[in-house]
Amino acid sequence: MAGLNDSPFRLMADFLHQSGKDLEHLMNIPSVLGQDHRAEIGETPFKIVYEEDRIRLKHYTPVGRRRIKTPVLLVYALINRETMLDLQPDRSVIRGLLEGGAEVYMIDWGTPTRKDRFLTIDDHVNGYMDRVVEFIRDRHAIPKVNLMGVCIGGTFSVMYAALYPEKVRNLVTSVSPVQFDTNKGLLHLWMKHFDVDGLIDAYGNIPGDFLNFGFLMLNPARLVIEKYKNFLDNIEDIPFVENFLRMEKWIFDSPDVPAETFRQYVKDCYQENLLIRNRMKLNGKRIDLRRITMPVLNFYGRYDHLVPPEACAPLIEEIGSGDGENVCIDTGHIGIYVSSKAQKEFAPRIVRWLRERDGMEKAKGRKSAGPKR
Amino acid sequence: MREKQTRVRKKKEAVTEDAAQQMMREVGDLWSRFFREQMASFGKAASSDTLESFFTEERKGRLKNHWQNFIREEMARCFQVTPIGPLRQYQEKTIRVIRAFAEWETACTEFCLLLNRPMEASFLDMEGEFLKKGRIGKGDIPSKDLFPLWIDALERRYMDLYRSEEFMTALNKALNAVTSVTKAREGLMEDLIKSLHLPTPHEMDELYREIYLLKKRVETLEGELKRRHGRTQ
Repeated sequence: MAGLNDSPFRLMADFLHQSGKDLEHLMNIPSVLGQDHRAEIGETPFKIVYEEDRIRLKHYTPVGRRRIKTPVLLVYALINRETMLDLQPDRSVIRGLLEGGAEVYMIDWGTPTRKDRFLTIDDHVNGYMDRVVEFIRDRHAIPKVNLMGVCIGGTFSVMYAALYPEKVRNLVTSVSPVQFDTNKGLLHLWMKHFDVDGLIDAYGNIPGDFLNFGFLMLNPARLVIEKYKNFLDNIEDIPFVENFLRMEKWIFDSPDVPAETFRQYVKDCYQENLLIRNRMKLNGKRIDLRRITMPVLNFYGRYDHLVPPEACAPLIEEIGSGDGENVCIDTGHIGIYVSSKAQKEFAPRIVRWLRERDGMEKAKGRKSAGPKR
Repeated sequence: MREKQTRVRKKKEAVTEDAAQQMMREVGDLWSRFFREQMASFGKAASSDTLESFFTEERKGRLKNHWQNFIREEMARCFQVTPIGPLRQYQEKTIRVIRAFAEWETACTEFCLLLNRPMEASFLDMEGEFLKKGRIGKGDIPSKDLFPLWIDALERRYMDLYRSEEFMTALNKALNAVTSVTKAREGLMEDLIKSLHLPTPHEMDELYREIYLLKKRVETLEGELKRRHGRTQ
């Protein structure tokens, strides 16, 4: 017990004692970490069906009967890796979609090198993404794909759907920022006066380690101190340790971000907020969100400290589709994909929503989607 | 004549030796001042009932100033020689790196001290909690509640700091200093790379840009060709 009459050092000692539970507990660390743990990630079987420069297209082996007509193309962010959507068998968005009867493709953006530093958002959206969509359309002889984007990948998907509405049947976005002029998230605040030119002049591509440091710094109390204290507290719980190691493996596997893409993203989105105002241009073509007339399902996390709800939710107001829906989940930026609670909510909801609009069985009594009046 | 030259050389050596000795003395003094102050504050805090005495802004400011003075004034002074002669540009680049490094060191010290502030403030918050509990007669806080209480306080303090103007200024200063030191270092490295007959990063970037633009042109031409083909068919 700590009380008023304790000296600061006595309190500190008590606190340290409590943090580590006991010395014996801490002594277990080397032996626990020295063991072989099952901490593999991205284990759902897939084949690479398309490759171009650094990018690859993964096609996941279907599971059971197909219940959604059109294949789903997942577009992950350029920060961290797409394996987050398939972290472990019981926490896998990919598995959830496959089991729901979807045919799933996912873009792996690979590891950018110095030669990729001149690639812009245009090269990712009008270039790689469009060629991948063309490939899937040819492969299945279909006019449209279902597009699902995650974080920046979702922002790219919004851009794509606005530029090529004729190629997108349904759009699903999750924790994808579109409204950048908000002071709710720290990133939005910091980026406003960020000297992106100076950083790019010095580094070229933005180093993954630099981004990692920035993300950790956003909340050191939770992401640095509490996280590792929890790890120490549960060091003897092998499933906990394995889950922790999987997450650790994923979170610090950060590829660099191509310099010009980062510059354009910071300037056009964070600093000028052009996207939501329908003023952003890619290769001279203006992105008009009102051209998004297909059904849209937009997810965000109530406690997301990176992309707050205020940055995601306005999308539905701005699109031209009359079938748009916001879904707020009680979790954070990563929890939406990996928390056990969200597993029961996120992928099943997408499957349900897609089946209603694109199911193999004919939808009964559902109003067809059309533009807003 | 030869005797005069020897005298000059001896004088120069003496000057270099004096500068080196002075620098070493400065390092020693700085360390000794730092050590004395830390010991004094440690003793003071250990005999005190409150944490406040350990974390005075004045003490931190003094320490920061000592360090910055040493880096800026003493260390950089050793390299404040006007560059002349055929090797002037190399000398200039070296000086640029050292100055950028000194600025970086200063900006980073300031930034780290700022990042440390919520940590100190959260301990004081905890102390405040104990005092409050004591005043309302509730007495003790169970040990198991200490950590969550402290983490909440720490998180709150960091969020307050991160939204302040002071933090934004320090963050931008630190980032600018990092980019300056990286650029200055690259300038120096380019000379070394050139001397080894290797392509410099700058030259490689030019090449990559050309390849990038050529690929774009090929893509456009391919698209054009496809469209024309489609029309004639």
